[in-house]
Amino acid sequence: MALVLWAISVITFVIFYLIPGGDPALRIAGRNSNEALRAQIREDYGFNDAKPVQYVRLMEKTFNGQLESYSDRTNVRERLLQGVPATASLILGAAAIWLFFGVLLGVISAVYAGRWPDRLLTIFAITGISLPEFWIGLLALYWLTYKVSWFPPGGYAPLTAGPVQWAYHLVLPWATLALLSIGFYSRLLRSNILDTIHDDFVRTAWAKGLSRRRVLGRHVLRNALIPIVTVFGLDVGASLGGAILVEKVFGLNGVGQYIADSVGSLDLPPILGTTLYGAFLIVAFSALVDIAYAFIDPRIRLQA
Amino acid sequence: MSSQPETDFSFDAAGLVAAESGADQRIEGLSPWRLAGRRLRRNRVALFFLVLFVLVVALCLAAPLYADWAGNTPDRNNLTGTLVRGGKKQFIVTPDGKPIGPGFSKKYLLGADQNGRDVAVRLLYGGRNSLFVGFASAVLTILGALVLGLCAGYFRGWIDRVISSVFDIVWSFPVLLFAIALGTALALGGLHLGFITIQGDSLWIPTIIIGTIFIPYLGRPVRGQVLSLREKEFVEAAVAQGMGPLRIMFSEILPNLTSTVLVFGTLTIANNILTEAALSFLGAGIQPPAPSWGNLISDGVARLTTAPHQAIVPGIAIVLTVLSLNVFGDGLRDALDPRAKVRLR
Amino acid sequence: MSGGSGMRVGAGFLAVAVISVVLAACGSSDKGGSTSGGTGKAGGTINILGTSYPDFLDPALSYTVDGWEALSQVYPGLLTYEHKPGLAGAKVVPGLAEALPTVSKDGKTWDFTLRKGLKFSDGTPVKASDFKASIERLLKMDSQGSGLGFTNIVGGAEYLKSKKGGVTGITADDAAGTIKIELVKPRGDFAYQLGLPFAGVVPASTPAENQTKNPPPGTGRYAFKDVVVNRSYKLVANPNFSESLKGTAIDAGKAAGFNVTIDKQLATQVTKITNNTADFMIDNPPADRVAAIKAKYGGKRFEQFPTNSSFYFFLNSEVPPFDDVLVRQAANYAVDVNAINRIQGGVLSPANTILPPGVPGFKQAPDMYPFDLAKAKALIKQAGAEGKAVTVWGNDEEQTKNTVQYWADTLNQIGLKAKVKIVPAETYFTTIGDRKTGAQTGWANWFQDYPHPADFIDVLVNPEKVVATGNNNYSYNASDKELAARIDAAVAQPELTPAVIDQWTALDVEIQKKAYWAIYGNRKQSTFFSDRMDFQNCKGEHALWTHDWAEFCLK
Repeated sequence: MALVLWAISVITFVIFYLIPGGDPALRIAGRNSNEALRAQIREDYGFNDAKPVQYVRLMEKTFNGQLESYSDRTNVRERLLQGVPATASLILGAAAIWLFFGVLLGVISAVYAGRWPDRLLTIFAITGISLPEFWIGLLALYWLTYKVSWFPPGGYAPLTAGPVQWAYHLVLPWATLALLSIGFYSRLLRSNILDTIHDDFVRTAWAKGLSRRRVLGRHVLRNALIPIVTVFGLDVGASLGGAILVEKVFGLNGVGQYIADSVGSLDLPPILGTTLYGAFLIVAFSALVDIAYAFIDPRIRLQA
Repeated sequence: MSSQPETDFSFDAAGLVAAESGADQRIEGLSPWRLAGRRLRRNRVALFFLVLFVLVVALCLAAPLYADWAGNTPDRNNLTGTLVRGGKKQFIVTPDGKPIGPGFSKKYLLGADQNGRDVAVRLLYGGRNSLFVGFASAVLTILGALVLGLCAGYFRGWIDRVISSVFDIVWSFPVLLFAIALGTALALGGLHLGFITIQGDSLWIPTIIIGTIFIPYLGRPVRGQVLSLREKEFVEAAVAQGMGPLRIMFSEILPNLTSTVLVFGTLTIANNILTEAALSFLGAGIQPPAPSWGNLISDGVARLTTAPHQAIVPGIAIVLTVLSLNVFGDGLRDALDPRAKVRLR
Repeated sequence: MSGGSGMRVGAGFLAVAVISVVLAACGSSDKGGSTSGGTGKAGGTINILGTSYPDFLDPALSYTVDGWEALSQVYPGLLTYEHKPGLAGAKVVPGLAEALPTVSKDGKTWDFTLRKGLKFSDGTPVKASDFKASIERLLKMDSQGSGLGFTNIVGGAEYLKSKKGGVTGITADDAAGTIKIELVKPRGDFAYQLGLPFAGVVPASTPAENQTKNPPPGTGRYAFKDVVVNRSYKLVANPNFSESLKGTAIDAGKAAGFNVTIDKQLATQVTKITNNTADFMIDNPPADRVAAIKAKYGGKRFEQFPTNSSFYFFLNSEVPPFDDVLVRQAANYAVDVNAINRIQGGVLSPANTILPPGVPGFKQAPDMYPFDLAKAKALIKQAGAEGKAVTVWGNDEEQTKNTVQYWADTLNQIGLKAKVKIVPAETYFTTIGDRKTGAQTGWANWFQDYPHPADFIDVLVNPEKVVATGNNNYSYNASDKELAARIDAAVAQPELTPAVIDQWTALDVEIQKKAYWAIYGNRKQSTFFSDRMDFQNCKGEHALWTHDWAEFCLK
């Protein structure tokens, strides 16, 4: 895990040093600078040192929480933490919605497999995963906030402004994110359930004469959910690192927007900070999922 | 009676299909591919969407023809000109900066953009770019995943460890962030790898980026499959026969991966088209002035309330294309693996 | 001053304003340039909306318009600008100094006397050495403002490097309250630079670190309160406003205070002002809403005015094909301001001179290169430049991107072979400012730092200013020694007398003749008020600060 994070930090560093015209001293000095100022900045920030030395210095600053942006000298960790509530509200809320509906629709699809409820839900699901999320967000903004003012045109209201306002501002972003994932999860669950039906242990359960509900609910569903848990855990982990597109369209000022702004301005410190943050979340949730897997799936537990 | 064969836990597709097509026919053993083909042909919905996809591709390839017919090019700005529509003379772009919307005229059928360019023409040219990137990057992903997955799964040992670590690292990189970072960096300076130089505004840059970042997503399942296939008897037999590892990988294992590749292939194209749109929307994909469905949408954001056609139209194109691919891919998967159509008792 | 600094997002275009009675284009009436900022009642708190938090709430570091709008109310310097609308606001008057400085004959020694009895907002007295420390703080922090005249102080450049020993060229006598500044080279615009927040006076004890979280006390009419970084801040009346400043130019400010909040969505800001939950928005409303707002509130709560900004396509005279003056002139004939105005959503005030209307030296004149595509084509043919490859540079900001695509298409129409290259906004100016890049043409802009012609002509077109990296002179006309000599001579003049102003006007015409730029416009800034604000009397449109909050008042 540490190896992965280290490799990511090196790759990020390298990418941003390969760019032409990226002399940070020029940017920090501003437009009306002179050579004296620029030379001084190179001295003070250590841009004249060898690349590995600069890398080590940047990593030190990252761990000390002293990483500062080249564009506006703000502290990266502070800005990152400022964006976390918005991103967390967005992702956790949307995740709850898409998990609930994904499982619900997946089960219905599987139970009515081949019949019209299944067909309808399949259409809905496939359409859902075919939609570009930023475009849906834009459409929602146009029709639901401009043509009719049912919702606010973006922006994030922190919980301190009242839970109603908080939720009200998040409804559209939640819906946009969830729409895509519900389709994906319901189909995944459906195919898992239908696969699980064939497994030997289910046959055994039928043979034992257990009730249909018991077999389906306890044995089939539980096993079909295992891969869902895996994918869900990884999904949430990856998204907490910043849902760049939805945050940008709705102006939520979360981690994702910070990432988009920093990358757009080729600002290495925030990029490094946010990349490591995002990668850390992915790796951490990955590990969590592995642990959870061991608990849920008795076969793995027995093997270990 | 449903048109799909009801099966229980026993499986005899050949017999069932033969039985359906007429009991007087000789019961022949049909190859799994022929069976799959038949099932696919009966799936009208999937075929319909395949045709739709082909239609979209054809339209985009015919972009120059359309441009001639409409009398507009994708690059020509026309900010101060006028257009006669329905008998009335209108500004193509008003002095306040509002471009004309869709209407019944040869020129500007789907409206104009903020520079006075023809949205319909740019849509088709953009489609060429977007489809190229989507398709080529999917090929790259599949090839990369196959090669790496095969090597990792077959050779195991240190090769597997190295490849798996690479997969882990790329996969842990927040996908969109990685793509944007690379896209922005490479769009600026281009790619210089030894003797290969690619310009920053070439379509190959987003192609290579999107193609590579998704390799682990396909590579891991491939590796898993190869690991299990490796243990099967036919591989043992091949080794005993003295076949070299490359030969085994290509002639024994690879064919068994074909159905996985086919299904994943269509889905990868769909996914990559969506990714290209997202990247271009954020400015890190296909660079202006080259049109792409993604950057056409981002052009329209600033005028979402006054000229919504700019943002809406390219999105519809994306949805139609991706939806067709997904539905067809779904049908393909069903055709290759009919167990999914089993009904619960 | 770069208009892009700190405001990358979308339509947040901030500019420095000027009101010129001459410009009837925006349909505004005489804004009472001769009165003292109009009548209107005092008191009340005004709610202001910004799209992004000021880059720094620290006078030594901030270099953006919204930063200066706030800081100018809190940290005046030895000299300051009148809080009056129109050209009156472009005047440098004594601030914390008793009177305008005594300048030696050679223009290199400037003597000031500090007013007596000055206090900071926390009650501590102001000493002459506080000024010296404020300037040293600027240099110690490698501020972007260092180059705005402060390295031209004797010992300034050395202190910037060594950070030790103080700036030898500033002598501060606390007992007598005098300050003597010695310059390396005489510059007439030094007085203007002393009026900027960079030269604002803070206590000597202020640490040489970004103080945004907790801004230091100042001497202005207002003081900071309740600063929540990236969210909001307040300006309240300075509880210890010095007696000796009463009645001076610094004593201006009708409102009791200002509450500034950040709202990232311009659309929401417009809604809030429309229903009076906020009073003023710093940035322009989004381009697609302007027409509706203009129709509904024009003249009552909304108007647009041109700012002291230049928007142009630079033409690199060092590299073909624009090394040929005929080709540069062809480019000028090809520019259609009408077209560009539409791309920009109607916020462009057409321009055909180097100096914008609010800067001394500007003179209204007919367009030297009226729009004529045919003539442009002919000139290209004459110069034998047909088919020559040109790369048109632009950055990824919405309007810039579209404007350069227009420019490339136009160059193609007159016979060149142009293609576009888009670069991220943050690195745009450093890229085209690198001589090695050899950028042939592209988008450029400049917002004034202070209303002196040197801030435009000297900074942007002086051949002597061409260096290896960090250029602002994208015409790279290093070989034009004659122009350099003339500009240097004009800069050295200590005062903007009518004769000197004429010199600058002549330089403007000369630069146009040589066609180093293809200039097309000045950006218009909007004033959009709620119903509470007194639109008729207190618009606060200022020659330097864009909007001078001190002039705002409620009905």
